Amino acid sequence: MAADMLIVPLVAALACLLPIGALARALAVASGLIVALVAGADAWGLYRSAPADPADALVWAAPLGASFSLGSDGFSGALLVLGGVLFAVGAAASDGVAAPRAYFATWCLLQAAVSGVFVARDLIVFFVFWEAMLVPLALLMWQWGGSDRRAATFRFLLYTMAGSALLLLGIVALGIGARTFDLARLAAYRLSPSSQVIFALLFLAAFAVKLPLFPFHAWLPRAYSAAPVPVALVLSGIVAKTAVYGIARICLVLFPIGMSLLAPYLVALATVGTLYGALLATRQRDTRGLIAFASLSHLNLIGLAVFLATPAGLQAALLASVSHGLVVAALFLLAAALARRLGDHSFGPGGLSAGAPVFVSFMTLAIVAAIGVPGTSGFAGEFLILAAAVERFPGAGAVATLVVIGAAVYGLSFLRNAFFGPVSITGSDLGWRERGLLIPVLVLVFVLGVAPRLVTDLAVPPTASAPASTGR
Amino acid sequence: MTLLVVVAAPLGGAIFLALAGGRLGRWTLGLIATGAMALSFGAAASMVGSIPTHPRLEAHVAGWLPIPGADLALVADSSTLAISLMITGVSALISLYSIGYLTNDRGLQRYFAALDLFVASMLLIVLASNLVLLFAGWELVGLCSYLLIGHFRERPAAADAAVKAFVVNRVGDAAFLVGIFLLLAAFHTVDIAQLDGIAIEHGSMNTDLLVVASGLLLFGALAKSAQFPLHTWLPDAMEGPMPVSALIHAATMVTAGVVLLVRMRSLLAADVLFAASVIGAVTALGAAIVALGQRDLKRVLAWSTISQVGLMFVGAGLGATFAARFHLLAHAFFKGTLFLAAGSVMHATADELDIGRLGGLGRRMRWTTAAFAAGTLALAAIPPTAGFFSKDHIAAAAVAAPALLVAVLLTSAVSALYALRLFVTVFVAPASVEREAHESPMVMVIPLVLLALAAVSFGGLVSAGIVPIGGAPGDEPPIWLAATSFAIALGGAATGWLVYRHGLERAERVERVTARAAGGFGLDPLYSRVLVRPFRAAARELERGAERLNQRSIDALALAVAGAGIAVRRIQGGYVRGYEALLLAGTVALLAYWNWNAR
Repeated sequence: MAADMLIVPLVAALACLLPIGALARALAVASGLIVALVAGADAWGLYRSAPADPADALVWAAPLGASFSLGSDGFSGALLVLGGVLFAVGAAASDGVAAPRAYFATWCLLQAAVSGVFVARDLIVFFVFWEAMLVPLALLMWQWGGSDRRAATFRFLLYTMAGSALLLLGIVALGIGARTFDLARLAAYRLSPSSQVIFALLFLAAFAVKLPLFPFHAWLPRAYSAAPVPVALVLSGIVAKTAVYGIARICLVLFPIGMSLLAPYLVALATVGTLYGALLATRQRDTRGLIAFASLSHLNLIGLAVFLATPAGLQAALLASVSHGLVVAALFLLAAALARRLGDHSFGPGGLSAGAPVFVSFMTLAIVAAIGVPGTSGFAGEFLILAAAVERFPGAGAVATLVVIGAAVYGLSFLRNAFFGPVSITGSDLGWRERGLLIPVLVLVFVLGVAPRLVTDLAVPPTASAPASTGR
Repeated sequence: MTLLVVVAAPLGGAIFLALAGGRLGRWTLGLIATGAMALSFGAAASMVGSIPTHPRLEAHVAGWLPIPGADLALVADSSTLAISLMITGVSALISLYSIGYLTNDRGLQRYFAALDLFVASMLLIVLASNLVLLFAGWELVGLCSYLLIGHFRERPAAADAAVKAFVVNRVGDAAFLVGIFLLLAAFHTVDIAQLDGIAIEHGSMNTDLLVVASGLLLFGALAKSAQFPLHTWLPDAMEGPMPVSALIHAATMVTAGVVLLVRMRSLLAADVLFAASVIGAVTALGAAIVALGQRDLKRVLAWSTISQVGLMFVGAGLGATFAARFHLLAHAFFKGTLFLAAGSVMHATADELDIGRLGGLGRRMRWTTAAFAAGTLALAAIPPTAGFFSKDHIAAAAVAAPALLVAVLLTSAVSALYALRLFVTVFVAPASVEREAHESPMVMVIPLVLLALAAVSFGGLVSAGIVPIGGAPGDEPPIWLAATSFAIALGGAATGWLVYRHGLERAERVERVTARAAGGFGLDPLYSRVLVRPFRAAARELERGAERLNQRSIDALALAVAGAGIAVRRIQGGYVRGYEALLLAGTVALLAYWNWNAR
């Protein structure tokens, strides 16, 4: 049930306020896992039976004309599973935080808000959850962040809210015109092409900042560096995917003509962003900076796939979203492990490989997945995106394909600089706790690399109308 | 099913070693890796018998990507089976040899795991039923070469060479990818057999799209096969352990481009195929001349590989797939022999690589010397070694294009010359430095001798029809051509013997001339100037320009909002909360307004 995705983390958040001490973390981990399992079971049901409509919808009484309507389908189901996994992993990786009960209560609230975005079937509900994500996120960064946290949080909030304001304007104007906020009924509402463009732009303002689409990423490097590592992990791994979801399931569904008119420009921006992120990533001397710009590159590529608005593009975007979430989680966990050994997040002298062979192997696997080597989910997602892009926009697709070169440069240079070369530093190898978190994530990366259809098939009936390429 | 085992055995070996090899000793690790390859060899061999009744063997494992044809599926015919047998056989010998070669090394687990993965990836290139799976193998051999070239992680040169190999390969891979995407967009499948069918149905398709797609695939092949102008990674790849070089050069990597051209020949545009043969000829002759100027044992062999693969490109580009495949197999045997023998020399002389400081090893290492001699004769194309027969077939294919024929014959002459130069200075000429040298242990000698036997006998066995390598040989090379190439090879070899038999110092005048070629085609500095530096400069400028501007814009926004930057810190907290509340309040107010209106 879609409502479970909200109730579970909300209950967990409330329970964290009880004097339960160290149990708070276990509770947060459990909340993530339960959501992942429930959403996974739902998605598996969809996967097996492939219905056209949202499988379960929940509509409550409608105060203020809006209906508290929830529901999930394959697309949101895959992202809910990803979110559950990442919130569990992030909570488990939140070692020694100050005021743990407050931290984990906020953490669970964030999880509830993110889940809410994925299950909202009403624009007002969607917007409330969309904004509700910001409060716990800002609190987590503000209270538990690193040295630059105040300035980074402020900029993040400011930028995001500027987008949100336009989104709100769009939602209200649309609702007034259509006299409903229900997404299913809005999908049938006809808008002229020009108003579709205007509405698409208003909605995109929020989504482009959250993704972030180039050049609206100014908040990103500082937020990734200032946030606590687990928060940065979910910020990149799943919060950014709310934007993917918003574009795919709101903009494309409500404003198909507007989006297709805008597609050439949006694809151009995303292409530039893909390469820009990869180029900037080669300049980073700090693991979080590297992850920030590598993510910028990946997220823009995912954005590109969504903007194509083809079934193949949406399948690819969903797979790449899940893949990026898992890979970035592994990278952040490894970055934190590296920082524990080196004292801070900068890397440079190299030579760690001798004393920490398992560490190097795990890092190599994560990088290999990040740069899209076959066998990993990273390859499957990237390949499908680029193939779909070339089919629709051959020029942009071919240019975007150059990212595989940039990725090789930033990924392997990082390994080279951080781990290889003469032995100059010694650090202990990965401990069992660190491995315990990484192994399931990496296993998923390889499982999806070999069986990507577990995810792509979920995206198949994206706009019920498209019969799409159901499994051959 | 058996076909599946061919790929699954080394892949399973790699996974097993990576996960469970932590506490295993050198012999256990090595024997597991070798055993997996031997099992794969056995599986491939067991299928040879069924080829006459089932010319096309298929194994469909599962679906993979949601793209028509992009499944986990394998197909084999007589010719790809022959290549698979070579890959698994030669790799198994190299893996066995490694047990004796890498005695005091702590990274043996990852070494042998990568070796198995390397073999599995190369087999994917040969046996994949579709372009996406082929590409997966294509990229994975790049990854394996990265892991193995950089095996000695503490050596900066090795770490740099590994990155360079992968990045140059990725440049080719990017082109390859776009080629696949274009074919997919045009023909809606990536299945190679279906693409072939489409190509045959439509006759010769020199459409623009096909020319572009073919050109992109060729570009990918040039990078993987280290052909001009994308050969620059291969000489540096020498930083890996010697058995790895043997693997890369003989069995598992650089010949992938030839395999691609041969497998895709029906689809590739005719103009592009011809361009491949021209590039091959240029590379073959140029690299042979460069090899003549090298003083580093491994680099002579590296440039030699570039040159010999160039000859395969000539054959493949001219449509002489039998000749290309024949030379690919023959080269695998003699180049494998040469590398393993060179490894034996390094093993004996504490990693001495300067051929000017070697010499006189002939009496101290008899097995190694004999094997190296066999490899040398095959490289020099002296009958009855394998190289003579296979090169002859390539020359025969080039008869129709006189310029290419001249290039092939000149390459033969120069090859014989540098092959003998290498052999004579290392084994025959008097030693310039007195040193202790000892024969290698049996675990290294046995694979070496087996490979050397193959290098000597393989050509005759194929020509006599005893060993099938798939496909028809086409026309027998004319007798005048065989005689000419024999004369040329003999002339080159004799010159080499006469000039270098007293050592490099005594051939100083010749060396001074040839040394000019040592720098290669001079592309490394050029690439550094026109590609690497602009890439870095672009990244740097973007970081300092666009990115800073982008950051500043948000800073400016932040300052403006926070009240011209006055006491930002003090009010931020309250301000943020206020803003959030305002937004939520606005939501409610607007809702209420709308609700009121809608009454």
